[in-house]
Amino acid sequence: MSARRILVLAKKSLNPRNPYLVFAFLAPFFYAAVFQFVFNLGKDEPRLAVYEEGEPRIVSALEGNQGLRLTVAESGEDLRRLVEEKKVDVGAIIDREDLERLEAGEEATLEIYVNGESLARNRSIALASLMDALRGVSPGAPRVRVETVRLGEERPLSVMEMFLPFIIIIVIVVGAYFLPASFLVTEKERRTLEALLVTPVSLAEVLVAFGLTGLVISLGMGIVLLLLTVGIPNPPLVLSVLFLGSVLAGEWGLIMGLASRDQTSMVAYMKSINIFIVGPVLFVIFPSWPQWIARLFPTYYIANPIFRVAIYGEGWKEVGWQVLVLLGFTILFLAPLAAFVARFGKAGRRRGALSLSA
Amino acid sequence: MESEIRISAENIAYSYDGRPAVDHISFQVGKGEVLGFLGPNGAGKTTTLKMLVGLLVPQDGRITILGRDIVKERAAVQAQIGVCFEEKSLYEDMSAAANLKFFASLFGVRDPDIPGLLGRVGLPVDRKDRVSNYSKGMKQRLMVARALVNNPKVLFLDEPTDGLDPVSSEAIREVILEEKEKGVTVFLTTHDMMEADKLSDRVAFINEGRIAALDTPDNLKHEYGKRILKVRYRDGDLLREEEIPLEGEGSGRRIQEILREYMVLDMHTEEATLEDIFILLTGKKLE
Repeated sequence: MSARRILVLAKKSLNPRNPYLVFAFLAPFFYAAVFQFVFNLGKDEPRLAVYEEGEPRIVSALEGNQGLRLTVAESGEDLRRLVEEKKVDVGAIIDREDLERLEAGEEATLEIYVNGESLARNRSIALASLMDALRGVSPGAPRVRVETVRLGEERPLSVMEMFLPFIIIIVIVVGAYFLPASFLVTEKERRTLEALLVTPVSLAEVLVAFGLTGLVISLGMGIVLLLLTVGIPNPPLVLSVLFLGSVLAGEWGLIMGLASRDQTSMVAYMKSINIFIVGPVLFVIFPSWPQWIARLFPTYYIANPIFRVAIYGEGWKEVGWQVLVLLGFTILFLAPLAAFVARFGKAGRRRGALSLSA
Repeated sequence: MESEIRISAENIAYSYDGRPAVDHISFQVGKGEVLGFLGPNGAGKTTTLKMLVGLLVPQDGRITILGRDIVKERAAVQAQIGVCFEEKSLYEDMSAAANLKFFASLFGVRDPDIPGLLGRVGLPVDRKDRVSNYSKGMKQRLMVARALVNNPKVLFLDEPTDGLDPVSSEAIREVILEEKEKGVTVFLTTHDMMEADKLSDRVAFINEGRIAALDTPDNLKHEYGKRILKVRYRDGDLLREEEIPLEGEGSGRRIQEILREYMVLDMHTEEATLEDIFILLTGKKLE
């Protein structure tokens, strides 16, 4: 397998006249615009309240932070009230003893109050800013043990938040599923696949090139969408889910491309299958529906972990098992993909269309 | 000589759902040789070509191109061959130059002479518009240019002039002869007997998956063809025409009789065509 040939094929597949490609690039911006203008999400700055005993060194450091709305509490009670009344996302009490420990390079325990209705992204930014300010007083990396106190119930979902899993699936599906399928079907329709396969290019290289193109676009656009909307609160976790989800959708796309004779049959197949791809997302949006049904379908394990991390600030502990299930599906679908490749080769040999013996 | 053999097919066979398309045929083609592979539609020409270029795996027998087994070393063989299909298979939303550049990059050709290739097949060098605007003949010429993009040692052409205007056909024939002069081996499938006669060093007649004859056009004509003398003469008020086999007994006597007794208007010899020989051998016409 030649990396050079794969890159040449991948580059050629980026045809700006392909409507799926155009949609794949525009979708995140379109949906981000919907988020921004209809639901007004992007303008929501993280809000941090700080009560600091003694000289306000941490407050002074935070005051220069443009990406944060800082409130200086007059007392611990005042800070707690600000969080409870949802006037800030995060509140932190910095007492003098803690600060002295940090200055001495010792471990300090920081009590953090979190508004239950705040966005995970806002919490992450507020906490990161606070840690940055603490770094200024500590001789090395600040050794801080954070004790989180959640105040208030988890908020009910807004329409915007309910919409998020659906958009994530659309972006991944368009990039990693529609694109490789359409690339492959177009080559078959034009008979250029045959022309490629009498050069040193093998079918495996064609599939890898188209699959990789879809994967990169899907991953990139997924990241753009999240950055423009709810952010990426737990990058390793969110990116793992995005990556595995894109690989899985890419496998489906290649199967679809191999199985479809032309664009018409591809669209017909997709219409019949799409309910199984988008359907489970509805269960994420409506948690009162029996969740076990959604858990039977792979896309649940793409939409739900991202949703839980982005909106509720959950982590590996809560959704790690779902990432493992997603990995399992990704491995599982390699088998039907291999079967379709073999079947395509046999059918091709019968029709005289191609051979897989590379 | 063994080292001069560029294409070798040994007893190759291929069936579609149990129906033999190519039935255990063997042939060899040497360096700088043009082999015309002639047969009617459905005779097995394209199936044979697809096995030779690695698109089909022979169900029996063995193919070596440039001394390499096409099944076992497909990519290595394909790096040194050029293929032009009968069906158009171009990226029509790209320009002619972009098509050639793309295929050159797949072969790892770093600096392809695109203007030179376009010029050789008689296509405009500076045209930047999409191939979809090209005529059928121009597209076919571009397909031939594409087959040459990697400077192949063996060229496979499937009905390259089928349905083309005379100018396009002639441009393609010239390229075939130029390549032959350079030592390139050409495997040419066609059902155009005149073209095969003009271009081929040897021709193979394929019918129902089997080779009915394989030799030089002259040898085939000599072996199977009959030379005749066509005479038109006036017999009183009647205009008569007669065909006299030149090899037949009493031919000379009959010619002398005509010359003596009638007013001969014209007379000329006629040679058997490859088509006549094909019909003689297979009982079928080439269509």
